Amino acid sequence: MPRLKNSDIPFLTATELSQQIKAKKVSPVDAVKAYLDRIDKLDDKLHAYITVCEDEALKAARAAEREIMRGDYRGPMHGIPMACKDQWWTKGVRTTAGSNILKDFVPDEDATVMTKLKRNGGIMIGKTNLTEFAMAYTYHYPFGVPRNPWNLKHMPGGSSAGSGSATAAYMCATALGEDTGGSIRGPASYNGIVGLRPSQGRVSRHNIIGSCWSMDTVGPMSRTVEDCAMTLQAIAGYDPKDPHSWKRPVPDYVRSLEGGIKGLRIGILKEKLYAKNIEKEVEDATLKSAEVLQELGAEVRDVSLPMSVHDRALYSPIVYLEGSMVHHKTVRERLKDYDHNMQITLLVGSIMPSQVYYKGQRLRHMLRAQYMELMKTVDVLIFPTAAAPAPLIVDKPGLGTKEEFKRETINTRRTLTGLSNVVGAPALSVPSGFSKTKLPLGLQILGRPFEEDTVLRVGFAHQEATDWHNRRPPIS
Amino acid sequence: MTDLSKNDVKAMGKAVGLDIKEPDLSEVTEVINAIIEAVDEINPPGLDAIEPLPVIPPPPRPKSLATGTAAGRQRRGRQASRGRAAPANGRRTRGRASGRAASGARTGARRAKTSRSGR
Repeated sequence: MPRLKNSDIPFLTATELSQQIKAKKVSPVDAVKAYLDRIDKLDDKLHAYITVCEDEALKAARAAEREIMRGDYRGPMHGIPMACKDQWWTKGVRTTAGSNILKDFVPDEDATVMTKLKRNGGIMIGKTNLTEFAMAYTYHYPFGVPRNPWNLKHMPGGSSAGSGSATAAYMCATALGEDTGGSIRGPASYNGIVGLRPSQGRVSRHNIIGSCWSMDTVGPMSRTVEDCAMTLQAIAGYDPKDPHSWKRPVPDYVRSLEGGIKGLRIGILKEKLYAKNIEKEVEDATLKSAEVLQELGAEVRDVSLPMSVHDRALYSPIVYLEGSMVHHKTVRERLKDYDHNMQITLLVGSIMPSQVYYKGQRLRHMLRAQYMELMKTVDVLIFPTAAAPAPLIVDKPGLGTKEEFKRETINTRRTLTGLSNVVGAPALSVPSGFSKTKLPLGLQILGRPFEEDTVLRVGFAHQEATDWHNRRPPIS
Repeated sequence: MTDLSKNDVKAMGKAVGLDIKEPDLSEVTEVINAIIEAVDEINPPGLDAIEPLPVIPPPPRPKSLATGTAAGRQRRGRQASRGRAAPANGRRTRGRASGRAASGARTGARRAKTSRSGR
């Protein structure tokens, strides 16, 4: 196979790499080696990976190369080195969920997303760092504090911290994360990459180590919208092992990027943009993105969803209670083996009054009904992914006083991602600019349930009219 | 709404078999009071009439089938299956992990971060 210079391979998009592999111009073995070299060079600073699977990845790459050379090409993911959040079962490879409690757990079967990736020829080069069990704000990371490649003093977000950091720092071609309250889109925004939380039920959760059954969703994290579409294609679809996955047709996501957005109705969600906690530079970047979309022919206007201001408040009792039920035995037997913040989270969830949880569910239903009604008048909603760029890495444990918790977590200054989790809708975060402090900002695009194709099409149009996705973090 | 006291929180823990002690007790009290208060403050008209439905409303059904009884059966069926779909909890994962080597040994992954960097 003709060889491209190895050190250049990581800077290809996954789509470009896929084309090179298909054309037999790049060997999957060289691609894997190139990314492993990047990991060797950078990951001691970034702590994006918990486990790097060098031997398995090289073995899979050699097999992929043999298949491709003899003409058995499986599709766009064939031979693509990718990273997976360490939150789901990987047969024969340790699965920690970022916790000391599972530090020696080696599953004997794969999660369905892994089965699908392998079937499509994807190569897992490693398992990425995350907040403990994909919950809370972890203080003590057992496998190293993940850092933001744009500024090592800042967080890469949570919970899919490592997938965000690894993708932004070119330590994988594309990645998977999991999003319960914004855990794909937050890290995507903070790291200047693209992240898609698919609709609830679009991707199987079988053998995912859950944090909240009614909101957990696996999705792609990539450097471009095309890469995101290509990665989603490999994992989407009904799974009989997950009764909560839905029998819906899976569109051709890559093809759906074409066609432009002329005439598409786009709503700027007022409650998530013109609010006092949104930093001015974030508001400006979002309005600039709206102008870009309008210039491309979309009909852009302000819209309102009054209940959306409460998304985090009604989300909290649901996530705390459902999360604590995942751990209901270990919280009694091994509480002190969890990170401090996780301990508090689990204890709070364990004693959450049923009436508060039930009211949260009622409010959720009401918000979802309002959302579906609003989505009859527009095709997508846009607003910032986060109210501010990535915050500094926390330097002390604890969730704060009542007032601090309400301010920082419930009425959060951080991510604005809860709405799509609560209503079960797809949501994409795409790069939309940079702060004065040279940290990335993100634009969020929400659609109707199971209309990931529309959301991706808008994201692609925005990407093609801007160049934010081409910027490289200084660490690279 | 009056805040829960630490004694209230301790009693709530006891009711579910948890002995919540200081210093956790103070922090748990702060956080649960924050959540309860935040939810208590939201009271849109019509809320009491809401019956929470599945996460994603079922797809449209033919009119001939869209009776209350059929919808109810469908809803109940889905809720029952959710229970069986509970994701891996500590018990299941610990059970499967017992007697296994960590991935570095089992998979030959010489770059396993814990062994390589001492983390």
